[in-house]
Amino acid sequence: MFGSGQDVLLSSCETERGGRVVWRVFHDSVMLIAVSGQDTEAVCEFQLRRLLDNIWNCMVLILGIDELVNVRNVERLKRDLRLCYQLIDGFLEASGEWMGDVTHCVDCLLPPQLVLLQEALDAFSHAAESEFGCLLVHGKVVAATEKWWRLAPQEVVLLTVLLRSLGGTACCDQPVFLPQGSPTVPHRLLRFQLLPGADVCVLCGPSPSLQRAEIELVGRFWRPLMEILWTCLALKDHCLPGSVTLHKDVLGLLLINRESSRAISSVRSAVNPPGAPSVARRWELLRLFFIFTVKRYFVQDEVAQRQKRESLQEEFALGFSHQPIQCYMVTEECKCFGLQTPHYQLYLLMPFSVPTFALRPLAARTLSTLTATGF
Amino acid sequence: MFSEPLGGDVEQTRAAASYWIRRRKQGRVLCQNEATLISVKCGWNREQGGAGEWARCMLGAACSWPPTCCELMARSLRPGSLVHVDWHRSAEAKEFFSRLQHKKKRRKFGLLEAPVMPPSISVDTVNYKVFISGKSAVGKTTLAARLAGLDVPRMHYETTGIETTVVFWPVKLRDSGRVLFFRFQFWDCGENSLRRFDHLLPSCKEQMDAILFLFSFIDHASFVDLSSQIARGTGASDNIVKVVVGTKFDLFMHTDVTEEEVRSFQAASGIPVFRVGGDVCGGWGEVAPLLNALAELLWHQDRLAAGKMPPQPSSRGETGDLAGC
Repeated sequence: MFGSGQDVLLSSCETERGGRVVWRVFHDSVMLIAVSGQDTEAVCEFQLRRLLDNIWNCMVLILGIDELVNVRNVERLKRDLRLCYQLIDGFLEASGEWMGDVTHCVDCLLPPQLVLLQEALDAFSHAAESEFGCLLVHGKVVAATEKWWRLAPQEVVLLTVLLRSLGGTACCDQPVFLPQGSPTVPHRLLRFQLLPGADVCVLCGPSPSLQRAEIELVGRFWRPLMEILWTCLALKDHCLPGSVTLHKDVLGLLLINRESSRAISSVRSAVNPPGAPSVARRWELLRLFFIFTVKRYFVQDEVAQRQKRESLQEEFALGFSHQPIQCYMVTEECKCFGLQTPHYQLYLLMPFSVPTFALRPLAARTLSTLTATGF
Repeated sequence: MFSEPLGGDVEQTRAAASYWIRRRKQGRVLCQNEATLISVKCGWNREQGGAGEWARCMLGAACSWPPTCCELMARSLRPGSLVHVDWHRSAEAKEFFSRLQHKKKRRKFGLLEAPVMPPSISVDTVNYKVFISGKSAVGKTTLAARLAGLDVPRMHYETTGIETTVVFWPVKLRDSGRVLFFRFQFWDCGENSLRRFDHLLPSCKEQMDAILFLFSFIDHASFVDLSSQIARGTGASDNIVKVVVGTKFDLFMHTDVTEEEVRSFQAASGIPVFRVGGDVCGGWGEVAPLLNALAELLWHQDRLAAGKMPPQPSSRGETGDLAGC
C-alpha cells in the first residue's frame, strides 16, 4: 500500500528465512495473498501466481463477478465465500495424478473407441439442449463437444476440478459462472455419475430439469456404451489406450498440446525396474520437473510477458536470447528429459539406469509415437 | 392367482393401474415384467386384466384418491406392519445384502448400475425421490453419505447446488413375502444456494415422494425451526411421506434438545422422529431403522395412492413371471 501510494509496484517479497509472499489485486476489489512456507525450492513464485489466478477464478465460478466487484455487504460476502472453500482447497491440496492447476491445460485420457464415445456425447448433449458436454473418467477428459473445447482452457480446468470435488454423488445440478465466458450470468452444470469414476456433464440453461435428464437421457444414451466405459476406467494411471506402445524404460510422461491446451499425463505402474520411484512419487516428480523446466527453460509466452511487466528476478531465463528446445536433468531417483516443438511439449521420466546419451532419441521416439495418435 | 377379479370395482382398478403405469413412465418402477408388477400391486389378475392393454389406454390418467384420506391413514401405520424390520439380520437376507458390498465396503453404484442378482432370483426395483431439508450445517450431506455408506466428509463444506445420492435397500414385504429393492435417491441442496438461486428448490421438490426434515441435537434453534420448515417444505395438498431426523445424536454431552421435547413434537405432529450420529462403522444396523421405516411409509403411501390395499394372494403365483414374489 505504501508502494502504490508512491507509484511503485511491489509484486512479491521473500522473508529472511526463505518464505515467500505473493499478492495480486483483482478488479480493484479483492486482494488475494499467498504465503508459502520456508522451503522455497518446493513452492516457487510461478506456482503461487498460478494459485492466485486459480483461486480468483474459483470465486468467480461460484459467486459471479458482480458479487465480488460490487461488494455491498462485506459480512454477506464473507459468508457466501464459504461456498468456495471446497473448490479452493482442491487447488491448495493439488497433487497426484492431475496437473491442470500448474499447466493450465486440460488433463485428458485417450480412450479406445473414441468415435463411439464422441457420438454418444454429442447426441446426449443435444438431447439435453446443450452444446457444451464433456465426458470424464477418473476426473480426466475423455471426450468433449466442440463448444466445450472452445471455452478458455483455464475454465475447462476449473470445471474439471469442480467436478472432481463433487466426489461420489450420483447427480449434481450446480450453478456456475464462467470466469471468462459468462462471469455475470450463471449456467447450470449438470453432472451424472454413469459408473463410479466415469461422469458425464453438460452446461445448460433453465431446462431440462435434473430429474428429467437423469430419467430420460442418461440410460438411453450411455447404457449401450457401458463396456467401453469400463475399459476406460481400467486405464487408470496409464491414461493411454493399449494400442499405444511406449519404450519399456518410460516411467511416466506428460505431453502438452500447446495449441489446444490439452495434456496427457501417464504413469506406468506396470514398469517397475529396481530402484524406480513409486507411482505416487512419479506423479510428484513429473509435476516438479514440469515446474522447474517451465520456470527455467521453456518459459511460456504469458509468463514471459508477465515477467517483463512485473520484472521478476528470473534473470537467468530473461538472459537467454533464444528459446531452448530440449533439456535434461539427472537426479538420484531418475533421469528426466524435456522437449518442445512449436506444437508440443513432452516431459519424460526414466530410470537412473538409462544412459544419459540415450535420453534424447528415446524422447524423440516417444513424441512421435504419441503424436501419431492424433492427440 | 389373485382373488379379486377385475369386475369388483372397475373404476378403482383402472385408477390403480394408471397410477402404477404413470410411475413406470416416470422411471420410478423398474421391473422385470411390467404386467406382473402392475397386477401384483393392484391385486389384479393378469390374465383377466391384460395389463399391456391397460398400459396403452391408461397413460396419463390421473389418480383420483383424496390425499387427506391418505394422510390420515399414513399416520395410523404401525411400524413393522408392512415390512420385516429385522430382515437384514436373517440368513435369507445375506444373499441380497452381499450384492451391496464389495471387499467388505459398501459398493458404489453409478447411474447405469444396479445390484445384480443371480438369474434364478428376479427382484423388482422401486425408485423413490427423497428430499433432505434442513438448516445450513445441520448435517444433510453427512446423512446422505451415511445412508449410502460413503465416506463421511471430514470437513464441513457448504453444498453448492443440488447433489443426489443413490441408496439401494432390499426389503421383504410382510403380506406377499416378496423382496423388493428400494432405490432411494436422496436430494441434498445447500441452504445458501437455495437462497441464491430460485430454480433449485422447485427442482428438488419436483415429483418428490418423501421429505426428511433435519434438526441437530446440538442446535436448539434448528429444532424450533422444524414446524416452519415443515410448513414450507410441503403444500397442504401434498401427498408425501414426512420423516424427521435428529442429527449429531452422539454429541449427547452438548445436547440442546431434550427427549421430552422430541416426544411431544412426535405426538403433536404425528411425524416419526429418528436419531442418527456418531462414527460410521458401515454395519447395516446403523442405517436399517431409518431406511426400513422410509421404505415402509413409501410403500404404504403408494398403495393408498393406487387406491387400494392389495388383497392377500390366495396362492403363490405359479407362472414364471412371479418367480421373485
